[in-house]
Amino acid sequence: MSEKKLVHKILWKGKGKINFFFAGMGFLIGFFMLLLAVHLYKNVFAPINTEIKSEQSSAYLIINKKVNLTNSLGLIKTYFSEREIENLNQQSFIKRVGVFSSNQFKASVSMQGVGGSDLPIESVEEIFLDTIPQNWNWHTNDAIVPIILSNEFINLYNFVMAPSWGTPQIPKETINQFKLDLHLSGNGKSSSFKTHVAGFSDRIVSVLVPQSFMDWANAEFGNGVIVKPNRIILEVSDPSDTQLLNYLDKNGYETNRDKLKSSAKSFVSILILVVSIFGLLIFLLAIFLFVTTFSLLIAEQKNDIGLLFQIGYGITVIHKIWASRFIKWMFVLFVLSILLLLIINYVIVNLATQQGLTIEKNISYIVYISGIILLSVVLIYNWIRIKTSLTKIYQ
Amino acid sequence: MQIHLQHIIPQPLAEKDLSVSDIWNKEITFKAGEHIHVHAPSGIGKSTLIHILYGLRKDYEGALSFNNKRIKIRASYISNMRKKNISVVFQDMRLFPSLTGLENLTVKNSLTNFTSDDVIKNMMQQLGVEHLLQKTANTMSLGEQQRIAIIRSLLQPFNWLLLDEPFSHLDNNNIEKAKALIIQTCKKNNAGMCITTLGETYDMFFHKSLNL
Repeated sequence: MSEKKLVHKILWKGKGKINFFFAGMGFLIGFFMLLLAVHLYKNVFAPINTEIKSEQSSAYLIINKKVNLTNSLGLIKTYFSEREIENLNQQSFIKRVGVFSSNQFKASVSMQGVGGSDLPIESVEEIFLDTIPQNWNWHTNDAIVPIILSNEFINLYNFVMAPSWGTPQIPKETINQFKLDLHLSGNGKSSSFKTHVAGFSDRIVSVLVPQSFMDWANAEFGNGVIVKPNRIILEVSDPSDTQLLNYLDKNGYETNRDKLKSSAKSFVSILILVVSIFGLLIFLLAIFLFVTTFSLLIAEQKNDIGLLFQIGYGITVIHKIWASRFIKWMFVLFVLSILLLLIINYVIVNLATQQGLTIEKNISYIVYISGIILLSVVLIYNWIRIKTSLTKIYQ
Repeated sequence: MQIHLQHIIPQPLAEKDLSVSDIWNKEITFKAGEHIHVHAPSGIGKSTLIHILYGLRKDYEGALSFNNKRIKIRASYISNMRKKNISVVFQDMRLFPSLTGLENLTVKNSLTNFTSDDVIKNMMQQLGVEHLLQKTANTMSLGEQQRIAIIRSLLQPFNWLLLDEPFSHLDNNNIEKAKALIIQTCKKNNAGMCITTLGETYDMFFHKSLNL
């Protein structure tokens, strides 16, 4: 039997195995949770946060007047007067004010084989669109009109209308396979246009057409009465600015702020917080258990360790034999934690994809580096602890 | 290697009258290769002397030097000395109770690999303990343990062999065998020997016989 094996036989004697098993399990869970927290921060939280921040650097808010009993009785108008728009323009916290042009004629959208419905169509200056689609323009006599549909509209159709009508749901990618026709009538004239869905928007809840088409259609089919805008789009630097919120509140305006991503952000940040706190707690307990078990084992084997010193073994030899086992365990637990993380990451990525979210598929090197740093701290700490205990026995 | 003791007084004996001792509080030199006999009744410090020479005890006044150099208390120095220069048979044997006879010898020999497996087996045969190869120390008789402890002390290279009442649990027949093996191995190593007894000389030749 080799020197190492014999020394192991003397040092272990099958004692403390259960303690080490639980310490190992605790270490695995705690370490894994800490890595998961770093991973979630790096791959889920940070991208959402950046996205929100970049959106917030120039956020768009759509405001309208609150609908209540007074204005539903027609006592106060829900449209914005020129004075009110001018007032909005003068506020320092508002960068730009955009007015939606509405149709002054009857408009409906129909889908071949499904039916149609009256729908408001609107246009707005291009600068207020989340993304400007290619070919977002219309020239007189163009047969096809590009339109932008609200995501809400697609969701409403797919999840509310289609199931009750018994019609098939429409994936976004294939919406162009369905023929959407735009019917305009008014001023004694009527006309139909084929449309092309150029894009989708989270920001706008109606059907958008290019400004040039709206101007032409209003002149062609409109009754000449200029419809004052009910909704205004604002470009602001900080949508959470209290000055802005107070201003909106004071004037009785309400806004459709997109809260989805901030709620996702707060969910993920709470998740990360919980995972890190529990992870850290379990991890520290496991380290404590590990170190205590080691110290206990050293204390139990004090006589035999002392005897090894007495027959000529040096502290370094015993220390190395002991620490090498600890390092092996840590390495195995590190590999297991990473494997566990890979599995969880696979599940997270799949879930996110099903929810239509795109997140980074690979585990960042930051996670590995954090793991190695954490492990090194534990190893160094235990290395010193073992050495101190052995030196005490030697003396 | 020469051992020089200068006025050594172990703390536990500080209050005692040490004037009759040839060693305590005296200046004395054990020359390289000498056979030293230290005799005293129980409780005078035979084991203390062996432990001081082996670097296990530091609770004494005076100075201890090897080859005119004061011994250091650094752990690595002492470990190295125990590995290469000084070997010991403890009075209480100090085997690893959970290891077999062979394992107890291997754990010592693997420090230096100084002795081949064949020589180890020969030594076991010589002392009549070859049947203890696979027997754990905690199931051995004291006499068996003592013989294994003697063999263990002979496996490493050494300049001095310290024997603390090494034959206390052996019958005459086994004492003769053990004596022969010890003397033969010391000779091979050109080593000195320091043996403590209650007074017995075991018909051995000593350069010095000292009263403790």
